[in-house]
Amino acid sequence: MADSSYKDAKVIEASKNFVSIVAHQETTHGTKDVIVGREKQKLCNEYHTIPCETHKAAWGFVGRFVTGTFMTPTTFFADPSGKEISKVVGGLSAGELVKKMNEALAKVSGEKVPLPVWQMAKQLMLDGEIAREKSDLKKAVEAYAKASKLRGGTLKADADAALKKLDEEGEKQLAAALAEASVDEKKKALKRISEDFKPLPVSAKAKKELDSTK
Amino acid sequence: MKKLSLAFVLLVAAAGVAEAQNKPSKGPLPGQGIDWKADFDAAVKEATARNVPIMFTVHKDD
Repeated sequence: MADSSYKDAKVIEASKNFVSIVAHQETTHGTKDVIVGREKQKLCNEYHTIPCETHKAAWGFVGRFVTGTFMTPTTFFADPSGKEISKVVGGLSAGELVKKMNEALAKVSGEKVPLPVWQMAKQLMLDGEIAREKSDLKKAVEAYAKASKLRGGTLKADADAALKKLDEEGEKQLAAALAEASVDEKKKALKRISEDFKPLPVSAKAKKELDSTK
Repeated sequence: MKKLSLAFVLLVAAAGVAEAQNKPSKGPLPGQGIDWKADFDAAVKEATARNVPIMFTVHKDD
């Protein structure tokens, strides 16, 4: 099953709507040296995208689904909270596996975030965090605003929470700008806030103050 | 002379095969394989954030 089904294009495509774990205690099937990016890595001969340590470590979680003796292979499907929703004992062809995956997927209601979108969102959130640490708030707002447009799961809520914090930071800068004695300095600060924090509410406020200062 | 040339060609070909066998092949590109995780608790966290199910498959060597 592992050799063929998990390398099948339709199974790989279906797996993008899952979080997948393979538990396999033995490593006698060996590894092969492959180049990933610029690095040489030893990847598992059975599951070909991971080192054997990954599936060996996952074995420690088998007890979450089964105790005592059990048949292998067995595939468990769980809802997002980890609660079992179905299981299949025995090997499956790629077509059978995709069918079982689709059945499990149908049992989880609501909008889902496919893996590529999730990876993009994670990168945007990381870009936002790094930009914020470097005090590049314009770049941080841009990254979080892009992440906020992605739908499904908790993506929007996470990005919106980060944007809210940036808006609060903008409000502090706006208060400081309005307290500025020099008109030129005030205009300069208001212009910067209106540009850096776009499309946040504080940007519109700064723009309004700037227009009334002219 | 003909035999010598043939032996030379075979030797070069064998050396090429040996080198190719020792050389690491290119690994899968992102999206070309299943993104297997190792930690169930981290998987639950990600599945909750993405609102997707978890596939947990248990295997043993044949």
